[in-house]
Amino acid sequence: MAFVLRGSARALQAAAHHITPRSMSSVAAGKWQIVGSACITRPPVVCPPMTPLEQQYSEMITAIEEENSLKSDHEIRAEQDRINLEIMKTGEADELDLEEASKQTAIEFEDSCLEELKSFKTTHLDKVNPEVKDVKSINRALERSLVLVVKQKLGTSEEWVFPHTPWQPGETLRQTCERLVQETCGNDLKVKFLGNAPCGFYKYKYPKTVRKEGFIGAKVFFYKCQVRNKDGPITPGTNIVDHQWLTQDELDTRFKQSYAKSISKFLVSDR
Amino acid sequence: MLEANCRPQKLAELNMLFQVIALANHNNNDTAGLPPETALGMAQSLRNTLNLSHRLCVSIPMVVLTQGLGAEPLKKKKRIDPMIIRQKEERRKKKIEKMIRRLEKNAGQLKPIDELEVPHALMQQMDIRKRQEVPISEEVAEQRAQLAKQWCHYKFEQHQVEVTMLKKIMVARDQALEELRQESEDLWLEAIQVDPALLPFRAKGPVATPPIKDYDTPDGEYYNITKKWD
Repeated sequence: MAFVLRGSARALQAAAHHITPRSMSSVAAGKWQIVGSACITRPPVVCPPMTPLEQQYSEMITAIEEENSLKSDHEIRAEQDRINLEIMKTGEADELDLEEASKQTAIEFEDSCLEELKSFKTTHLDKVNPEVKDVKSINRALERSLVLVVKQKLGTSEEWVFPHTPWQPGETLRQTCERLVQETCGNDLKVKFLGNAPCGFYKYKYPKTVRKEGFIGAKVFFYKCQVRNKDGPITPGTNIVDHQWLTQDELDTRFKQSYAKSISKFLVSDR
Repeated sequence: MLEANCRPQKLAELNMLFQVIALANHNNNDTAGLPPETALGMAQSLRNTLNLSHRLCVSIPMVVLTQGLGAEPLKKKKRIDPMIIRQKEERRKKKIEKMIRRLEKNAGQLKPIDELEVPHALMQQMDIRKRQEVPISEEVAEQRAQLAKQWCHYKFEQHQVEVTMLKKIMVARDQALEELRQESEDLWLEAIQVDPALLPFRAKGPVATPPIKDYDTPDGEYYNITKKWD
């Protein structure tokens, strides 16, 4: 299988090298307008909490591991302490070194450790942090993967979609999307595109009154990219009315049904 | 007749040459070459000679540039006593033999990996470190077996979901490529190119706790305790 794939890929490459490209604009000015769209994903930052089954299984594994383990230094020390205490009770304390008795016992050590743990503050983004609830923040829902959804003007109405822009002659579709990311998010957001090929498409017809330049509709080609680095706040471009970072469950409420359907075909679900 | 024809011509030629020399010296008087005064003096003296020659009707030899004399005369070959050569070679041979012997001696010995060896002190305490075996009740054993089965099932389902999702994603990509090809063959050709920048793909996470914003890592000291083995 691998061989066949590699062979066909090579054939495609060879074909790509030999066919001299015709002038781009004359070919692309068909009936459908080509539109590039970027699906900007922020991968999960933090592990999601364990499911009940995972929790149970992990507890079982820990128990089995403990049964098979050898005693640690701390456990041996605790045992020794217990023996010492019994000797002290029977009144033969003079046999023991007094210095030994004044030392911290294992149980005391445990208590002090627990106390230290109590006073330790985690730096989790907790529920008090306003960023958790802010759908405009890239730092929300850390255990889920997020996608950038924008409110863009489509004809006369404004709709929630993935950021998109018409393809311009002279650039490849991927270049269109790279330009798009820069226009939408500014230079501070670094993304990595996953390949040269579009991951999905969506086509819709323009209303008859708006059919200009001979286009009957738009074919939107989606390109996936992952957020790599976020240096500063995201400054949305001028053509963007509003933006939100949403989890996949939240997407359906924002999108039109047909749009949501074609999106769901290529999104990597994190549930 | 000859004199009248030739001299003005040569004169002009030489004048030009002097100008060139003077200019060259003026341009890079910092680095090398003659200082400008010297060049001027040279030009003056040559012009004097020229005037003299004009008067005396003596022809002036053209300035001839000789080829570079970069090479130096060959050195005389040193003759070494053949005994010394033989001794030197023997010494080298012995050295190599010694190295081979040393390598052969150590060939069977492997470098110990400290991390893989149980410390001697722990081996001695083996009997006090062993845990008392607590018999597992039948109920608990049954529960564990059930849980292991459930776990297998759960993982299998997870895998299946993943595989079907990947297939779905691949189908979606192929459909998109096909649609693109219908619109523009050129864009399609660009889209099926291999992306050399994609691999190696590195990604970090997800992690247990989120990174702290603007965290200033304290500098630590470390000591290299790796033993050296020859």
